[in-house]
Amino acid sequence: MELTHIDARFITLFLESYQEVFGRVFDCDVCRGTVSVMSSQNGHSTVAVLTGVIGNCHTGMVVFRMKEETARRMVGYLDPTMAAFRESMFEGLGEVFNIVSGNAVQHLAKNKIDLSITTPSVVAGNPLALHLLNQSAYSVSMLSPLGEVGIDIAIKRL
Amino acid sequence: MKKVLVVDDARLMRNILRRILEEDLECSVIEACGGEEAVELFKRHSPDAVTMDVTMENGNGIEAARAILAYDREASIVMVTSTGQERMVAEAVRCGVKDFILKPFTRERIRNAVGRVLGIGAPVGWTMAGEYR
Repeated sequence: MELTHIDARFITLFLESYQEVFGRVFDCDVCRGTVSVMSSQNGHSTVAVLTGVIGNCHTGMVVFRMKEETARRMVGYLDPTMAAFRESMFEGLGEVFNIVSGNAVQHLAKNKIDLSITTPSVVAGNPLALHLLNQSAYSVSMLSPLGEVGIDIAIKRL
Repeated sequence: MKKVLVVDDARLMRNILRRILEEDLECSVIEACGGEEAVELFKRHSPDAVTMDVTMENGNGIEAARAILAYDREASIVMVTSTGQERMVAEAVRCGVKDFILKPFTRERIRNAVGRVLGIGAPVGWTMAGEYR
């Protein structure tokens, strides 16, 4: 994937939105790591939330990766009852990132980038290996008191 | 005890709203996960207030709000919406909904908005008697 100017702007806006919404939802400070480019992800994550992205000019996927303990802490912060069982915890996690992605899309729309998102899908595995549409992804870590969340953004211009 | 109908297709959101309404406003809560079910439950239970998600997989919240208001013009409905859905919110207000809440919301915002339509709260900074505090 070519790293065009518009893509870099997209990444920046998306990450800013994620940082802001995550901070508001969980009432905490979120620190952002540096952005890197990679073609596959084989880190320490055991849970991933996959969201499809489609628009007039862009298409692709955004993946949020984390350890299961982090996922459980996030859902448990909002609703301890849903964090108690693995299945409901994953259901809650999908909703958390639906809110985050929805806000990111609105943030992008204000900056003249029109996109729609699909309902998030949650996958789990140990080890968890992800390959994103045979294309490179921008990857960045977000750190908060709840744990680390990796975000892989594999978006290309149509 | 006031009764509130919470309508949202996401269980997480319904649980969060239920907890706030039960703990902070001492309401009893009934839940619906779609528009049609919401209208049915409204007719069956006559709740004192409704929180209604705007976009749901199984039923548009605006349509459900409109159907409830057609059944009971005095129904107190608070729409729960994401940023960027301002046009839909404006449509809902024209239909007669009382207030709206943006996601992600704070506990205080839910307490204030629902409390106000239930008549058990007051706008921030004012007492029930209308005195500034």
